[in-house]
Amino acid sequence: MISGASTTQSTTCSSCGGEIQTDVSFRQCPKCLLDLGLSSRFTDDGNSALFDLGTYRQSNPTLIDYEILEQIGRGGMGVVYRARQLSLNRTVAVKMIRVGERASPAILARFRREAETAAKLDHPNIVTIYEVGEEEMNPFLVMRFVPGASLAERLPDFALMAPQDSKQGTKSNKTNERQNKISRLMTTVACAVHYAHERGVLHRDLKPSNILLDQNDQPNLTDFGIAKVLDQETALTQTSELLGTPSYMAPEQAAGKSVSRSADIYSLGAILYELLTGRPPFEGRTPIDILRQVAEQEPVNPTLLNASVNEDLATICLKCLDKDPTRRYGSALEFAEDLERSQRHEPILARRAGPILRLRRWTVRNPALATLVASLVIGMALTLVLLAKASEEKRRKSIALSILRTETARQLQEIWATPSPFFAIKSETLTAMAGLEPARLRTGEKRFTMAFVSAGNPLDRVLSAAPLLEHIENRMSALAQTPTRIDLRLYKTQPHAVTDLLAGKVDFLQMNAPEYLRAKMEAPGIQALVLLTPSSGPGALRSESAVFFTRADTGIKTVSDLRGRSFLFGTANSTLTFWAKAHLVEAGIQARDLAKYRYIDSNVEGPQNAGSPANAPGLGNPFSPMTPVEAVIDRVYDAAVVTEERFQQVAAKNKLVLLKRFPDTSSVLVGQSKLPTLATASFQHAMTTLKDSHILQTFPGSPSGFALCSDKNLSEIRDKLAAETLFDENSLEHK
Amino acid sequence: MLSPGPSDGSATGAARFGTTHWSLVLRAGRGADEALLKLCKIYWPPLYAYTRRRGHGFHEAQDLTQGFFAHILENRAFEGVAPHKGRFRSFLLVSLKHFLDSEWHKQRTLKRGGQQVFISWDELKPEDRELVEPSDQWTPEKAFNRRWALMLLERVMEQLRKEYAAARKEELFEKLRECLTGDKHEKSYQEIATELNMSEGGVKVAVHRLRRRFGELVREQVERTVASPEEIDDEIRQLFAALS
Repeated sequence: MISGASTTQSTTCSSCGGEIQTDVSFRQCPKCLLDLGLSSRFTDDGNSALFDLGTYRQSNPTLIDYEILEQIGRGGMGVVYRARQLSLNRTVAVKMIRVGERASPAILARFRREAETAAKLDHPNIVTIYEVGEEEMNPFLVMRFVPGASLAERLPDFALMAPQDSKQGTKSNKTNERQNKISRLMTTVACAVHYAHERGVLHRDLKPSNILLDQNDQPNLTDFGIAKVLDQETALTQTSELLGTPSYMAPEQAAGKSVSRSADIYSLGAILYELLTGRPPFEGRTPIDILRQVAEQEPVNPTLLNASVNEDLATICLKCLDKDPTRRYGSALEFAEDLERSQRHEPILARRAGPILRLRRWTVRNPALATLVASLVIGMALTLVLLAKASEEKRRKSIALSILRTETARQLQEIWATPSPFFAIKSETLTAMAGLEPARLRTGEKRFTMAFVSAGNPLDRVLSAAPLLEHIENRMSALAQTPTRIDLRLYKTQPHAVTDLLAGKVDFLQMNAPEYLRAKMEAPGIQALVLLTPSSGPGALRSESAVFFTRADTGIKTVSDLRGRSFLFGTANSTLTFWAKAHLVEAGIQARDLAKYRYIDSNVEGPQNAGSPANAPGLGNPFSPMTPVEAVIDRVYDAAVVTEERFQQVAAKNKLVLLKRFPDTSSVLVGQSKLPTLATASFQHAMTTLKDSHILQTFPGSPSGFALCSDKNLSEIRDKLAAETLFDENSLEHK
Repeated sequence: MLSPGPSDGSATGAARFGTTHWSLVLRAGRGADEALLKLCKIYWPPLYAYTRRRGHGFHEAQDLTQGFFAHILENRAFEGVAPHKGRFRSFLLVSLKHFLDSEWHKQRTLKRGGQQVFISWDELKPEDRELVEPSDQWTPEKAFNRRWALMLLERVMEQLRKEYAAARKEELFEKLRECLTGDKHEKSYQEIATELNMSEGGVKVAVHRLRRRFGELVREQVERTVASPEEIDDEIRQLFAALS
C-alpha cells in the first residue's frame, strides 16, 4: 500500500547543498530552517538580542498607577501626557502609542522588545524609559519627564541663521559663539547616540523633535529605536502626518534597506546642517519631493547658504551626509571628536570631496538605489492621493498624482526591459493613475489578481484595463458585501500568465477555449467562469470565423479531397490551427493523409518534408511577407487556413475557392482553483452585467458581452480537442 | 501541513511562559486527559515513524501508536515525571521503547486503545500519510528524531503563517516563505518586490524579519521540550544531527 522509501525525487538545498528529502512537507531544507533557530540568538543589527526570559514581566503594568495631568505633545507616534506616578509620587511622561488597526501581535511584540532594549539605556542625555506596558493592545511608555521643549521648537535659539543674528553689531563674535554652541550641543547629542550604539541600540529616527532641551539647555534624546518599528510595515495604512518628513533620513533608510549606525550618523549631520543653515539638507513641498532629493541630489554646501558658516563645520556636516554609508564617520564618537577639534581650531579629519566626484561616485555606486527609491515614491505618492481631502489639499493631491503617474510609467518601462515576466500594479495605484476617484483603503477588503497579456504598448494596456477593473470591483464589492480589490498583472506572454494561474498566483485570466481545456487537464480545479459572446456588429462575424481554401485549379472540392495534398496551417499554437486540425480530422484527414503540411511560423515540415527553402520562400520567417494566401496562389501549397475576413479581401481577385467555413472563437475568463464560491459567483455577476461598450472594446475581438460558462458549454470544443490530439499523435506515428 | 495540532501558543509574551510541553505532561500526570490528548495529537508522527522502523506493518504501527497513548492514559505513565528529568523528546522515546518491548510479548492480547481513538487515520490525506512513512534506511531512533525535527519545523511554519495571517500579511508570507532558506530562489527579490509592489530593499528587510521570527519560534518550540533554556542550543544541534 505505502512503500517505505518514497519514489519521487529529492532536491538539493541551494544554501548548504544538503539533500531535501521527500518526506519534508514544506519542501525547504530542514537543516537550514533549524539553523535559523541558532542564528536568531544574535541579530545582525545587534539591537534585539535574544529575548531575555528573565526580564519579562508576568503581569503587564497598567495605567492604574498613573494619574494623567495634561497633554504635552502629540506626534506621529501618539500622544504624550504629563502624569503622576502615584506609587512613587513622581512626575513622569506617559506616551500612548497609536497603533494602526493592522498592527499584528508580532509587531507589538517587536515594539515591546525594542522598547525594553531602549529601557536598558542609562545615560544622562537619553530620556530614561521607566516602564513599557500595554493598554488594550495599545502600547504605552512611561518615561522621565523632561520639562522644556524640543529642539524643533527651540530652533531659533540655536540656529545660526536665526533672525536676531543678522542684526547684531559684533556679528563675527556672535557667529563664532553661536557655532560653538551648536558644536557643543551636537557633540553632546553624538556622545549619547554613541553610548546607545555601543549597546547595540540604533535610534533610526533622529530629528530635532526627538531632542528635548531641559532648563539648562542640555539635550535629552527620546524615542530610541522605537519610532520606526510601528510604521515600517504599516506605512500605507497610516496618516500622512505619521509618514513624517524624510528630511533627516539617510537615503538607504528611505529606500527601505537595512540600516546600521551610519544611518543615525547621517541624521546627526542633517540636524547639524539645519542648525547651521536654518533649513534641513533637503526641502520640498511634499515628502516625495524631499525623498527624491535625498536619493538623487547632493546637499548644497552650508557655506553657500550662509557665508559665515565655519568651513570645518560645513565639511564635518557634509561628511555625515554622504550618500555612501561607508564614507560617513565610522562612529558617532568620531563625529563628536571632529566637532571638538573644530572648536579647538585643530585640523579636522574630514576632507572635502569635489562636487563632481561626489555626484559621479553616487550614481556609479548606487545604480539600484534610485530604483528602490522610485518604488517607495510610488507608495508614498499613492498614500497622499488617497489621503488628500477633497478641497484644501487639491493642489497637493494633483502633484502627488502626477508623481504617481510618471513614477509608475517609469517603473513599468524599467521592468519591461528586464526578463521579469510581468508587471504588477495595485488596484489603488491603477485607479488613481487612470484618473478615477480611488476608493479609500478599507479594512477587511478582499484582493484578487487579474492577469492581462500585453499586446502593443504596455502602459496603454494597463490604463485601458482600469475601467474594467473598477467595474468588477464595484460589482463584486456590492454582491459580496465586502470591499473588493482587483490588482492587475500585465504579462509579456500568455504561457507565463497561464503558468501563474495554475500556480494560484493569478486569480482571473482570459484564455481561449482549447488552451483552457488543455490547462484543465493539468489543473482540474480551474474553472471557466464566463464566455465571451461574439460581437454582432458589421464585419465582426467574419473576423470570428475561419476558412479552408484552395486555388480554383487544384481540383479540390471538399475537405476530404485534401487527402494526398499539401496544406499550410497558421502559427503552430494558435486557435486557428487548432480548429483547422480538428476540422480536418472530422473530415477523415489526419497528418499521415497529407502529402505535406507546415505551420507558418515553423521550419519543420510535415511528414514528408518535401518543402525546401527554395520552393517555400520566406515561410519559416514569421515576419515574412509570404502569407498562407500567397503560398496557395504561388502553388507552394495546395490549400491553407485563414480568417474569413482575410479570405474575402483576396478571394475574388485570385480565384480562390472556399472549402469550409468554421467559427474561430470561444474565449473564456478562467478562475484559479482555490477561489471561494462567493468570489467566483460575484465575478461572474460582474462580468455578465458588463454592458459598457467602451470597456468591452478593450477585450480582443470586441465581444458584445459575457455569458455564464460552465465546462458543459465547452463540450463541443472538448471533442474538437480530442480530434486535434488525434491529428498530432498520428503524425508522430507516421514519422 | 501535518498535524499542527490545536493552537497552543501565540507570538505574544504570555504564551511563552504559559504552556511548555512539560507542563502539559505534568497536567497529564495529574490526570488531565485533555492535556494528554493534546500531546497525542502533536506527537504521534515521530512515535509512528519509530514504530514502523521497529518492523511493524502499516496497520500494526497505527494500532501500536494508538495503544501507546492508551497505555499512558490508563497507566498514568506520566505520573512522577518531572521536567528536571531531561528532554521531553528523550522521555517520550524511552517510554515508547518500554511500551513496545512489553507490548511485543503481549502480542495483541489486549485490544489496543480500547475505545479511545487519538489519531483519525482516515482523515489524513494520502500524501500526508505517505510523508510520515520513514525511509527503510533509517534506524528506528533516527526515524523518530528526524520526524520529530520535521514536525517541529512544520509547527513553526504553521505558527509563523498564522502570525502573518493575523497581521493580514498572508500574501507576504506565502511569497517570502521560500526565501526562508538558501540564497538561490525560484524568484529573485526583485521579482518578488514587483509582485508585492514593494521595493527590493523592502523585500530584503521582510525576508530578514521572516527569518529572524522563524528562528525565534524555533527556539520557543524547542524551549517547550527541554528542562531549561540553556539546553535549547544543544537540543537544536541534536535535531540537526537527526536531519543529516
